[in-house]
Amino acid sequence: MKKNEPLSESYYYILLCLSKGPNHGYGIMSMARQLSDGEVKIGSGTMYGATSNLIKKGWIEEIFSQGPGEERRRLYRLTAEGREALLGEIERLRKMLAVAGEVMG
Amino acid sequence: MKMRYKTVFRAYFAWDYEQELEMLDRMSQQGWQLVKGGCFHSRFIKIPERRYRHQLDYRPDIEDMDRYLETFREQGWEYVNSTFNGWRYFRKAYDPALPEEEYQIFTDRSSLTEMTRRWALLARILVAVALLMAAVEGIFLAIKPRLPQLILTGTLVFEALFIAWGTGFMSSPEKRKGRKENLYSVYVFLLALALGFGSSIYLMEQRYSSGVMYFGSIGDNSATVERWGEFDIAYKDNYYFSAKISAQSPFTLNLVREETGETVYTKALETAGEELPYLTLEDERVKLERGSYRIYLSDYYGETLAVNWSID
Repeated sequence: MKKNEPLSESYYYILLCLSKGPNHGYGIMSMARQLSDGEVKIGSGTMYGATSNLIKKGWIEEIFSQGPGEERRRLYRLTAEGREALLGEIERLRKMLAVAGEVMG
Repeated sequence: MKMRYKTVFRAYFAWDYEQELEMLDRMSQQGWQLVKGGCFHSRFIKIPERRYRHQLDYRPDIEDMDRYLETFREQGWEYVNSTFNGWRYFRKAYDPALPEEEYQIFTDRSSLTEMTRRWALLARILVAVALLMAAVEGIFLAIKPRLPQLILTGTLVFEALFIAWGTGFMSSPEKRKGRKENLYSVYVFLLALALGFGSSIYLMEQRYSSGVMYFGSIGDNSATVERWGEFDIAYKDNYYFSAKISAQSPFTLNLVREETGETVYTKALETAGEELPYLTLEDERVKLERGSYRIYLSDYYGETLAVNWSID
C-alpha cells in the first residue's frame, strides 16, 4: 500500500463526514463542527479548495440528488480510494497514539 | 427615493488586501454598501439600515463556477463581483451575535497559503518577465550605452524588485499585519512605471524617427547602395550614422550640410581584388545638427549619386 501524506484537519474531517454517506458542503461543515465540539470550522474558501483537490485526487466525487419534491442538490460522495485514504490516515493516527502511550506511559 | 451612489478611488496592492477588507467593512458600517469592488476603485450605494462583513478570494481559474458560488452561498456569503484579474468579492450580513470565525473564509493556514501562492505565482511570472526584459536591454546597454535603454532597464528592475518585495508580504500573514494603510501608494507606483516606460519609449521614438532608405545604383553598377540611411538619433545633437553599401569599384561617400555646403563626414572605400566589398558604416559618431544634408556617393569614374536627407 502506498504511503500517504498526513491529511490536514479539514481534509480529514471532510472524508470522515462523508464516510457516513453523501452530503453537501454545508452538511459537511456543520457535521465537522459538531463532531469536533466546535473546534473545526471549515470556511467556504477552505471548503472549495479542499473539495476541488479531493475531487482531483479521486477521493470524493460530485453527485446530484433529486428526491421527490426536492430541488436538485449537489452532494459529495466518498469513493473507494477516498475510503482507503481515510482508513490509512486513521491507522497512521492510531499508531501515533499507540507510540505516545508507550513512551508517555 | 433617489438612490445615492459613491465611487471611491482607492487602489490597493494585493498584499494589502486585508486593509481593503477593513475599509469595506468600515464603509458598510457607515451605510455605504458595496456594489462593485475593484483593484483601483470601488462603487457603493447608500443603504444605512444594512451592515455587511467582506471577504476576498484570489482564484483566477475556477473550473466550476456554480459549485464555487454554491460553496459560499450555503454559508451565507453573497457573491458581489470579480475583478478582471481574478479577485472575488463576497459579503455576509453582519450579526453581532455570531462569533468572529463566521466571517472567515479560510479557516486553516494551508488553504490561506494556497490562496496567497496562487497570487505569488502570477507575481513571480511578472518578476521573471521584467528581469528577462531588463537582461536583454542590459546586453544592448553593455554594447552601446544609451539613455532610453538605461531608463527602460532601470524601470524594469525597479518593477521586478518592488513586486518581489511585496510578494514577501503576501506569503506571510504575520508580516502583513504590521502594514499601515497607504491610500496613494499604488498610484505612485503606477505613475513611476508610466514615467519610466513612457519616457524611454518617447526617447526611442525620437531616435528612430528617420527610418531606412533603399537605393539603386550609380554608374554602370559600379556601386550599389544596398541599404543606407539608417540614421540613429541619439541624445541631443549626436546623430549616429549607419549604412551598408556594396560596391564593385572604389568609391567615396561624402555627407554635406546643405545650408553651409560644408562636408561633415567623408569615407573612402578601396576594393580589394575580385571580391565584392561591402562598405559598412555602423555607428559612426558624426556630430550633426538638425537640418538638411546631401549624401554623395562618387565612384571610381567620377559618377556621382546624391541623396537629400534631413533631420527634423
